[in-house]
Amino acid sequence: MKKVLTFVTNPTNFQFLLGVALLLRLVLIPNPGFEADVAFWKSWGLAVRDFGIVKGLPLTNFNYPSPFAYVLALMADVYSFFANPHNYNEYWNNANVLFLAICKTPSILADFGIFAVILWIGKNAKRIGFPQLPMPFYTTLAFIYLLSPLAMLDGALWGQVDSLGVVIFLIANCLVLRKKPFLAGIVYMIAMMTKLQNMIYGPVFFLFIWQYLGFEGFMQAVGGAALTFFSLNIEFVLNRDMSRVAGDLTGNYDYFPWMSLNAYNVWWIVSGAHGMQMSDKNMAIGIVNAKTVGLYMFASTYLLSVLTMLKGKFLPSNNRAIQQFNNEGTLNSPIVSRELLFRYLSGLIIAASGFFLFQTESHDRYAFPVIVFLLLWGPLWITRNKKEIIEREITPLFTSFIVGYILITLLYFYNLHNAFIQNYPHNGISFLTGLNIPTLTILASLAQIGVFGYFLYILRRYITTPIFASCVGICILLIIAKDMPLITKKPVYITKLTPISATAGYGSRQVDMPVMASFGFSKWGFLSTQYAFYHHGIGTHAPAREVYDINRNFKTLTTDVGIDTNGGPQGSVEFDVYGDGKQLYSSGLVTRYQFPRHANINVTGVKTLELIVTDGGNGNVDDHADWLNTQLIP
Amino acid sequence: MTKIMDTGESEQIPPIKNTAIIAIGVSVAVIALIILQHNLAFQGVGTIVLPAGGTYLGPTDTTTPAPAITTPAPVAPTVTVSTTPTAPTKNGTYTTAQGKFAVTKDAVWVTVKGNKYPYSFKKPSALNLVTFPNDQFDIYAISWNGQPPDQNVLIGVDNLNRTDALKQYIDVSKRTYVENWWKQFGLKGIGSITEFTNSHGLKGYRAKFLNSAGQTPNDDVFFETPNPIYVIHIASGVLDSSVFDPLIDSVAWGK
Repeated sequence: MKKVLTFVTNPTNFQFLLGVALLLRLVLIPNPGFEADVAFWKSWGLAVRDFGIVKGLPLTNFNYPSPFAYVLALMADVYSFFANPHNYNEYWNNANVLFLAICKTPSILADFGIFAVILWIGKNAKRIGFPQLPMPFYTTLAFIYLLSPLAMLDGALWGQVDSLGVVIFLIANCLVLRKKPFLAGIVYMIAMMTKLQNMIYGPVFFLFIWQYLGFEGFMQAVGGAALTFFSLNIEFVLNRDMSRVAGDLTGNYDYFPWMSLNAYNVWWIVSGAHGMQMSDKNMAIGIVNAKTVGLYMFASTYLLSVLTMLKGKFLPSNNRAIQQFNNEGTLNSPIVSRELLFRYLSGLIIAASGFFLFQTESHDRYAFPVIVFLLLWGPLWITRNKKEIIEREITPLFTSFIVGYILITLLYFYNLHNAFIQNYPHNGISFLTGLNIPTLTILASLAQIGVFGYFLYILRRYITTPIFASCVGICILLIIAKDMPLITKKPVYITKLTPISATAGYGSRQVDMPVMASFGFSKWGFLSTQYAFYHHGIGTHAPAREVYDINRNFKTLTTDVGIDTNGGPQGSVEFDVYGDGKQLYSSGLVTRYQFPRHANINVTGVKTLELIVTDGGNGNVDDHADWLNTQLIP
Repeated sequence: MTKIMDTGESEQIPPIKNTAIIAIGVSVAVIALIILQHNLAFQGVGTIVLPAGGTYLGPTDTTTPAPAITTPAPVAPTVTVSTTPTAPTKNGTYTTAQGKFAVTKDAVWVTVKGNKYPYSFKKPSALNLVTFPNDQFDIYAISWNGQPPDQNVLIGVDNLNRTDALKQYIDVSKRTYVENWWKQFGLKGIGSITEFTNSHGLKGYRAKFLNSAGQTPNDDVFFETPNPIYVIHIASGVLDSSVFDPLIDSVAWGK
């Protein structure tokens, strides 16, 4: 390791390695990368370039934070400087190297930005509370990132902007350490508007600011973030179209309703390495579906990250770190500061890992920030509890950390590369294609979960048994609470379950309201059939089909059915219930002016339940169909 | 001997002025090459890839077609044809009197492989094909003459495990599948089905289905594959028989 440390700080070698890192990335630019992402960016950027952000985005299926569209428009603008983006055959070609170069440039620059941030931290270690290791240590860490195959895969090959989101977030953190909370808040919001996943770090980021800079610093940061949010979305504010902004921030919820989007995590294992073929609306524990279990697990992990930060002491108001902010003085309490930083970075890693490992619908790339956070966490870990940094003691620890870190990045590289070639086998590294074996991917999932477990074990000083048990206990209690109807054998309204799929022939499926409610709140109302009103049920329209996983948990389905009172006179439908593909019930023809019909249906042993409404053989005019008081009885 | 280390601040990182100059120089050179490649050597490289879903593709005019794309199922092409034949262009393509895409005998043919399934076929290099991201059918569609590619699907693979209704065709002769295929698409019936084997040994069914007007404007070719759950479907669409026939003869399955 000493040779490595000496090597990287030699000016010639330093420049050589930097050149290699740049050249490797430039060589990867012509690779079409993740073609879907690139194609979307072409479309979204071109729309904003042609029509502006307010009018352009509605022409697209854009689903990133709205201000990111400015970045994409800039890409299209730069492209149009050299070539015509309206030349259909050139612009949309996957071998359009000019566009690939433009769209991959931000992530390539961001890689060097992360490199620079690590060097900056090393250079300013004393001032900002990081361990005062000799510069070669930090230089080595910076090069390990820059030369990592993982970083090159994500940015220069794939074409994604994870590194851009991470570097902006890191800059926000550097500003906190430089005691500029207002600026930190501004930059944090820019990071979040660049990459929405940065929202995940918001609570721990602001908690850290509060711990590090006091309440005043916290408020300044919140103010900076809020101001920036509205500034970046100013065009939507002025056009009174903030619903578009809200939609972009929330639209991704349930966008890909699968167990795992090639993220090697808990749900990849549960799905038997078929994470993108199994709906996360399948029941996982009792009547709690996988998505809900995943959310509870993530929430509990997040609580763990917060408790890691809070364990011990929340710095009192007379603490030196806070005084230092008030007086703009020099930090004279490095140990306290280092302790805070260590717990903060640990919390960040726990939160980010929980998001990747325990949520369903987790993307393969969601763990990318962890790889960067770990590099900053490393120096704090190897110097923990040490007032004096002694080279002879530190170097072996540093070596262990580097070896472990490289192994972790290789493991995650395997995950990310498999995800890449799963979609674009010709764009990946061909000799690695043979390693994309389901059993190996499950082993990799176990290994990634194992690494996280080991990380928590390292933090056992903060994550004590009672704290860990509390978080796990809360997760279990939440699941049990959700499963209470099953435990107590009480009926469950089917509207409490989320269907695997639901289609309606007109409008959209409505819970506890007729189908017309899908056309705005002025149409909201109670479900009713021939003026018999109901509080619970599903309003839909023929032809309609809803599929539920009930996982053999119930014996009886009871329901009323009928055409909603707000349906026109031609309404006529048939309600059918299928269990595992076998017809269990048919209502026969139901017409508009009939009273509701009741059915008790045996669903014992049924795993997949389908509720189907057909048009009654006369087309689907006026076919406003209601499933009323539909309950499943255990 | 124990050494207490110096602070990080007392050490300097190596001078980066030269590095920056070199980096900027290399970047400028590479970007210049990229632009050169774009302007001089673009033709015949890559495939048109459009984003899935309803999204913006640019303004529509006669020179820059901008179809609205959704990831399509393999459908029988609906083609609006022109009736004005054109002279061959320098890359050997021309339009027939029937408004079909044709090539001269000296046109260059290239091999295209499926992205998801191990099929391959040959096509004239001047014929622009389009793929659809995350497309379960592994489709190539034709981008030609301003016509929407999603209505010009050339080739795709149907997985008979895809739906319960299709599973019945896995263990039976694929002729049964072909005889029922047209029912999904609002066609009227079967004009003819001819069995054949191409030069790669794939057993095929060449079908003419009746449209609502009782005409059979297209040829639909279905190939059995070594795995009975997969069927390759190829539609003639805008392709003249001088292109379509060699193309179906070149279809192969396997790595």
